[in-house]
Amino acid sequence: MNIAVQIVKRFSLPLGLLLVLISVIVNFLSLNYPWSRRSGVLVHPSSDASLQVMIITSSLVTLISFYLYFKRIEPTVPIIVSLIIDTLCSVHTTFSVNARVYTGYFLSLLSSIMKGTASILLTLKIGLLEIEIVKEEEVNNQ
Amino acid sequence: MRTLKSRALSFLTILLLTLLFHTSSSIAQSYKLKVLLNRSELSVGELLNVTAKVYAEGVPVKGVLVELEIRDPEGKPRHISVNQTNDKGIAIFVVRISLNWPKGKYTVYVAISRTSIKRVIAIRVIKKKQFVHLKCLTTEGHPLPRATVMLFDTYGKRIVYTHTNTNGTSILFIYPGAYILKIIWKGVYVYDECVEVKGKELLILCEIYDLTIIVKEKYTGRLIANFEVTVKSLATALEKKYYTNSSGIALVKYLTKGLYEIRYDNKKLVMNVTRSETILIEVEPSIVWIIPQLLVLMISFIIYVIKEIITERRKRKTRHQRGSEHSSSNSEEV
Repeated sequence: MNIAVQIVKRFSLPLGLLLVLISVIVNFLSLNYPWSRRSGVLVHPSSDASLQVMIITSSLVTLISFYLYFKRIEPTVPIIVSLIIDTLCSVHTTFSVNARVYTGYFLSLLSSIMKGTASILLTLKIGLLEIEIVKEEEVNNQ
Repeated sequence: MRTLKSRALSFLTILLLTLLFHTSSSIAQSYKLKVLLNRSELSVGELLNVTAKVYAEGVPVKGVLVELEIRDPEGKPRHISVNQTNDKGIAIFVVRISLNWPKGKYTVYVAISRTSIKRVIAIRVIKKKQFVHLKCLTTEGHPLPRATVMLFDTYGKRIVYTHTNTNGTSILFIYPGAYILKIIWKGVYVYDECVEVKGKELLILCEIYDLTIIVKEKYTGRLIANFEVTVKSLATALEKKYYTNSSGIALVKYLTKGLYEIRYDNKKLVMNVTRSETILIEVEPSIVWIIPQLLVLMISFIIYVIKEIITERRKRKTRHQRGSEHSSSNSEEV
């Protein structure tokens, strides 16, 4: 009795897109935490409408990269645009004297690093995840 | 003969002098002197106003010398002064009853100079100490606590040495009158002047100022809360840290006159405090926390641009190669 492996379906998912997906989740998480203390005032997305809008915009723009990828168009541009929006968020919250940063800022930074890495991976077309769905079958030699 | 002559000459001289004296005294005797005192009973330190009016035949006389002498109960002269009558024939004397004068009945003599016209009035000097609430305030009206208060009489003798309480008040038990008041605050003289104690309260505004420091952010104009500012006195080398409130204001109270060094954010500012002032400090914001985000963006962007350039060059190369192959195949066909 031998076991034969039959490939049912094969996916090739780029690691970059996976990172983009995680970064979007992390970016959304940053909405729930304070970002910084700027000029003695606590900056929290719940109390700062412009920051809230920027975070949501950045996440939505990042998601466009998925659409572009499946349409076989270069997905890096929306990621870079979202990185620009993230930098603006950072300027908005930390460009101050004696600014202190909190969880929200670090989550955003982590999200940006992931997006940056994803954009590099997608640009250089490396880190392709090959996923194969297999089916095992028993083969009788006789 | 000579003796007779000399006798006659001396006789004549005496006669002339007597005549002269009589005429002058008769003119003087035509003067009338009226004296008025503001009070008949005075406490030490208070002012005695003596008004002398000279007139002749109902008309005020100008330029007449009037003498004043005050004698204590033992008959010892305590005050002597001379004054000239003005257009209205009035000569005014203002005498402060000194703290050193003994209490009792005093005699005031007022006379027209070189005449026998005089008036004698009796006054009573009493010595009655009273409680005086000395309140020391800054120029902004804040009470000055724990200040050293020294009170000297007009002869320079120290009478009082005390300190103000937390309300800036000190209670003194003194005679009314003129004193030299010196107030020391943190080793610096903040008041050194002559004061007159009249009532039960004495309000003193010391040379102590308030400095309002407003801290703003450069470019954004935001007021910075909880910002540290150090103020150092260059005279005493004492320094203290202050923090701005939610409105970006640090209020430095109780500053004595002098030079101060204001330090903030590794910067120095020296200013001469001579009055209560408001200064504006602009601080440059930091970009430290923007750098990581910016780096991520730049790296991604640069790699993307480089890749695009390389791709574009490859495309051009391929087009060029295809073009050359196409032209060579055409020529072969021909």
